[in-house]
Amino acid sequence: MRYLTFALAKGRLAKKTLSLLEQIGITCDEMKDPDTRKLIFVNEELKLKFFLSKATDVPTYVEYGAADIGVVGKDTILEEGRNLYEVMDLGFGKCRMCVCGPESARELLKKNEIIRVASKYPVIAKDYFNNRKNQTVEIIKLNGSVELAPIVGLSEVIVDIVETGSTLKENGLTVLEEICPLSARMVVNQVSLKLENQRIRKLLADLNNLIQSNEQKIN
Amino acid sequence: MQDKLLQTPDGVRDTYGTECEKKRNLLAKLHHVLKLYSYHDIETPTFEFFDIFNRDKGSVPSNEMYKFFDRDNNTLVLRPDITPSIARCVAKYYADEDFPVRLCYTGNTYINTLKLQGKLKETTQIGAELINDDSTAADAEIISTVIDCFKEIGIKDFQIEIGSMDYFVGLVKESGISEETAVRIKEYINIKNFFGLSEYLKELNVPDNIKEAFLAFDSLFGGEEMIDRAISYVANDMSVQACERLRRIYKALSYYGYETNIGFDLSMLDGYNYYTGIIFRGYTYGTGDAIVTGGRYNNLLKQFGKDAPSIGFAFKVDELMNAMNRQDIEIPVERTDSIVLYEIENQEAAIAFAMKKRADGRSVELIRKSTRKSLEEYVEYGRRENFESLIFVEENNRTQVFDLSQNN
Repeated sequence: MRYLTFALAKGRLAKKTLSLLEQIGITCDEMKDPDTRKLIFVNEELKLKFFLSKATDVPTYVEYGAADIGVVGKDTILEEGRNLYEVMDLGFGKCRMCVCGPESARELLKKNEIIRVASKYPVIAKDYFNNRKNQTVEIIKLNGSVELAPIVGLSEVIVDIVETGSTLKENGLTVLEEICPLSARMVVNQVSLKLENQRIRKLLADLNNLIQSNEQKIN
Repeated sequence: MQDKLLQTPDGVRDTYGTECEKKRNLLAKLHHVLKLYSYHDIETPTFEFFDIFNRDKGSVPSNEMYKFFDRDNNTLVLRPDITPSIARCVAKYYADEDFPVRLCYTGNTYINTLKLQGKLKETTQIGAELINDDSTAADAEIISTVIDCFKEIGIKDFQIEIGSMDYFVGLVKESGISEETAVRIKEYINIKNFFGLSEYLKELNVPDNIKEAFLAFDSLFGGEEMIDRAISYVANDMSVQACERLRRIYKALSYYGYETNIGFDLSMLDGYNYYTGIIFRGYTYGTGDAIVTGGRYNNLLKQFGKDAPSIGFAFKVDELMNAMNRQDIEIPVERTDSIVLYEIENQEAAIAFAMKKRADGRSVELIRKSTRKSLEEYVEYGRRENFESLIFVEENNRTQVFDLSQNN
C-alpha cells in the first residue's frame, strides 16, 4: 500500500484537524511531542504521513501531488487559485473576508472613484472590486498588520479576514462590506482522488458522519 | 554578462544528454503504437493566426497565449495546443474525404502561465486524431490506443477515466436553468465542492429531483454499474443517450480486453472548450496531473468549414517522463559501441577500420589522439561515457582493445 500524505496548515487549523482525525481513529503520536524537530510524521500502521507547512503553501503541495490531501482555509484556496478538489467543509475556523475601513470610507465604496485597497489577499481583493463591484482600485499588497494601512493613510480601505472584529474596533475601523464566508476546507489532489479512491472516500465519509453528528449534538 | 548569456527564460529549458535520448526513445515508442493503429504523420506550423485558437476553438484563455504581429499587423500566436491546427488542415486538405482520416503529430506547445511557477511553458505533446467517425467504435479505439501506449512504455499502474459532456448538458436543458447558473453549477462540480453546491442549490427555484440529480454527480463515478444509477436521475433523451453511449464503449473495450483499465466519471466537466461528447483522462502515480487528455470534438471542424465528427488525445510527454522517473521505470538508452582511437600516422588504417564497423551497423566515435592526453585518460573518458569498448589502432593494422563494459 502507498502512503497517503497530509499537508496541514501550521497552527490552530492543524490542531483542530488532528483532533478530528483522532476521533475517526487516525492518530499520529509522533506529532504530539512539542519539542520534536521532525518535519514529517508517519503512522506506519495506516500508511499515513503528515507534515506541517505554511498555509499558503498547502494548495501548492496538493496541486503537485507532493501531498494527497490538505487542510487549509478557504481564504488561501481562493487566493492561490490552484487546480485541486475542494471536497469538504470541516466546519471550524469560521470567519469572513471583508472590506474594512473607517466609517468615513463607506461613501467611497458607493462611487466609482479610484481608491487604494491594502490587503494580504490581492487576488481576492482584485476579483471582488473588478468583477463583482466594477470599481477600479489600486491594490497594495501587505504582509501583516493590514489594519495599520487606513490609519496611517496608506490606503482608504483594507480587505482582510474578520473573526470577531475586536481588532478593528480597537483601531476605529469597521466592516464595510462582506465578500464571502470562510472556513477550513479539505482539499485533495486530482490524481490521488482517482488512484486512491477507496481510501480517500472512506476517510471523507467517516469525517462527514463525525461532523454531522457533532452538529446535531450542538443543536 | 557571460553568466547571463547562459540563462534560459522562465519556463523553457534545455534537454540534453541521457535525458534527451530517453525522451526521443519514449517518443519513438509512442509513435510506434500510433503507427500500429494506422495513424499518419502530420506537421503543422509552430505559430498560426490568432483566430485558429480563439474562443470555442481554443484550449487556453487568450491571455495565456504568446502573441505577436507579422508585417501586415496580423496577430499570430505560438500554438498552445495542436488539435485546432489539425482541424484546420483536415478542413483544407481533406475537404471532400468522407472516409475516416487518422493523423498523428509530435510537437511543442506554448502556454504563457504566469502564476503556476514550476510548470514549463514549452512542453512536448504527442497525439492522434481520428476524423470522420462518429461511432462508439471510434471512441473505443482511441481509448485502446491510449492504453496500448501506456503498456508499450512499461507503465503498469494507470487508470483511464471516461466522462461525458452530454450528460451534464442534457440535464441543464431538462432543468431549464440559465446559462449563468449552469456555469456556476459546473464550477462546483469540477472542483468536487458538493457542500458548496448543496448550499447554492437551496436558493434555486428548481424541482427537487433536479437538485438531487446535480448533487448525485458526487457519486457518479466507478465501473459499468454506475451507468444505471446515472440514468435513474435523468428524464431527458440527451443524458440517457450519453449513458448508453458509455455502455457501448465499455462493451467495445471489453472486446480489447481493456475493461479493467478504465473507469467512468461523469463529474469530469473541465475539458477544453471544444469537447462535445465523451472526454477522458489518463492518470498514473508520480505526477499531480493527468498525463493524457482527450475527447470528442464534433463541432470544431465545422468552424473551419467541414462538418466532420472527430475524436483525439494528446500525451504530455514532459509530465510522462517525470512520472516514469518517480516510478523508477527505466527508459532504455542506446549507447555508442566503441571509440576508435588513433595517432595521426595511422589515420588511414583507423578510418578504414571505422568505416568497416559502421558498414556492419556498429556505432563508432572516431578520435584522433591528442599528444597532450594519455591513453589512460581516453580509457577513463570511455568508461565515464558508457562506451562498450575502446580500440586503439597502432602501426601495421595492429589494435589494442579495452573492454569498458566491466567495472561499471
